[in-house]
Amino acid sequence: MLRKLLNKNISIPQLLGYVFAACAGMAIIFSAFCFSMDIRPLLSSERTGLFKPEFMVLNKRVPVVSMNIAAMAFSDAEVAELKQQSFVRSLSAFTPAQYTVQLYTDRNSAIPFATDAFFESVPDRLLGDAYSPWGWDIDLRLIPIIIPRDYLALYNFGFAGTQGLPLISEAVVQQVGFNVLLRGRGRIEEFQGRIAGFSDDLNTILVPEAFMLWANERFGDSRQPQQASRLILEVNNPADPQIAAFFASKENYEINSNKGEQGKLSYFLTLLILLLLAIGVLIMLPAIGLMLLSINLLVYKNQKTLGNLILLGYTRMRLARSYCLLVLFLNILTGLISVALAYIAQSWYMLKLAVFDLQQSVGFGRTLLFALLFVALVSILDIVWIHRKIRRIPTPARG
Amino acid sequence: MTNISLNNVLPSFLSDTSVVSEIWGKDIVFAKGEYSLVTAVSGVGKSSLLSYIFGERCDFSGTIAYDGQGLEAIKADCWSAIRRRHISYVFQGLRLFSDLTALENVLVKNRLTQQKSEAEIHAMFDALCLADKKQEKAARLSFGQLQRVAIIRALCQPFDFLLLDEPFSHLDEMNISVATALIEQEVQSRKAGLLLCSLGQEYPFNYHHKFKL
Repeated sequence: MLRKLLNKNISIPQLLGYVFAACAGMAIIFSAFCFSMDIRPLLSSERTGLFKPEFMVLNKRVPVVSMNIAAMAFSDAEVAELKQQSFVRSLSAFTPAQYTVQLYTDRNSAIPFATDAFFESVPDRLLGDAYSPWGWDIDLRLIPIIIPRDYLALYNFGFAGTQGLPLISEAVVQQVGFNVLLRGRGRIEEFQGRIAGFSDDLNTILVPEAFMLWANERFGDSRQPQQASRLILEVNNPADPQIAAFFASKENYEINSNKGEQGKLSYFLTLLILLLLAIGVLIMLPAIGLMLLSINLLVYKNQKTLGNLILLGYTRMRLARSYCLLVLFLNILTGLISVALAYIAQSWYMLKLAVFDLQQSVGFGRTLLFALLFVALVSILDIVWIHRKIRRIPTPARG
Repeated sequence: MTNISLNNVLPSFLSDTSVVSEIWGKDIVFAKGEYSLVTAVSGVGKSSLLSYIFGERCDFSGTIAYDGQGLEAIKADCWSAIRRRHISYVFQGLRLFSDLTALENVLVKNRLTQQKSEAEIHAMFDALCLADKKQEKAARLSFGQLQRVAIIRALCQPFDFLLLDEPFSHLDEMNISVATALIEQEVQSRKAGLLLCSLGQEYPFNYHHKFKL
């Protein structure tokens, strides 16, 4: 009977209008959010690359033929110039091994091989989360190694096929142990090696920085060049046009341009998602306005009834609760419909993106959480508004 | 609550302070258990007096206090409890809900206070000759019938004081005598105080105090 009194003057068309507009707004916002979550792995290099996207590898172009290795290294002046650029956040160098490396398997191994090789390392903090933690254990004498994915492709599709050798998958390679022989400063020592991962964006054989420092100390040949020939730039924004402008003026510098393209793509996609979010918010704002206005109108029209109920001993809180429940119901209903719409949208674009082998549940899980927060936030705004309006009913003067 | 005191209370619409009244501008105490009658012609402020005491309006100078505590010091949250447990009021304008039936109007109050059983409420309707009007929308009842509904509603709560504002103005002799008997019985059972405002009629209560406003 209280509901009968309080629900009088509720305008069904107004509430339906709210539900429609809010559904449209929320569905767009949730879909945009979901999309941004889903394509994140495609934009970051966690999936296929070794580095986070804001890192770029820089080296000098190799002239036709040169034995002058020192000329390939970056001088102190060149490093200083790079550090001064506004787009550079930090600068690190590759650390080369100052000893010789041989990799080989035992004679009776499933994959017999022996080869000369080299190692390099980069500061651990530059590696994406996919490769951390990575380190080495001096007692186990086991060295984790990251090799370019191309090496395996070269073997599988170039070498093995023509030589009648078996094709091997990444998973198998990672299970095969091999020996590592380090030689330098009159010492020869054997270690165990294991492939810890593959990289798409770095043409080198990478070992943990801690191992490299230890090994260079032990086997290091001080005659080896100390200056770096490859640098790793950490930039503030990979899509910054200043980066392209700077390197256009440095003809003998080579930068892995793939990152720049990916940066641009990421920038445009981010822009697109922001645009979608903005449209959603633009629809959502008047919807929220409509709801607040409806509350105003309802409380105004029922002012006399509400005043009389207060005189009968009902608390303003109790009266507000009735309207809060109504608004909460509408918001939850709207949220559910919008989430369902976002799910349909996601299923549709996931079909289009099937080739990238993305997991639908991850983005959607986050979207659910986001939707919950969003609906809660809108509801809190409505509830605060209702309490405010009911508190301000002028009669009775006291209570 | 054992008393309601008025200290030099003067409504803002009475700017002339030389007004002759036994209530305005005086110090008065209404005690629990006592019956008081306030009579006056129209427009002198009978309803204003009750609505000041009930905290419905506050356009007056001077102070009104419950057990010595000034109304202005009572927190907003406490007023609903006061109106549910300590003071009941039959408004001159009744303040019934025209969309609800006679019975629902009473239940809106009783659900809040749980004071009476359904049977007791039905008995009161029967006693006041409203047995066949319970399910009638308030909008379709006469003012006299509505007055009786408002009286029943006012009795569906605990109270220390019952405020009645011209409660029988549209009732016939028979209904007045039934209503006053019912009110007397309810007030006695609560050992409550009664404050009745009328245009001059005294009605069959044994008053301790009579005031001319």
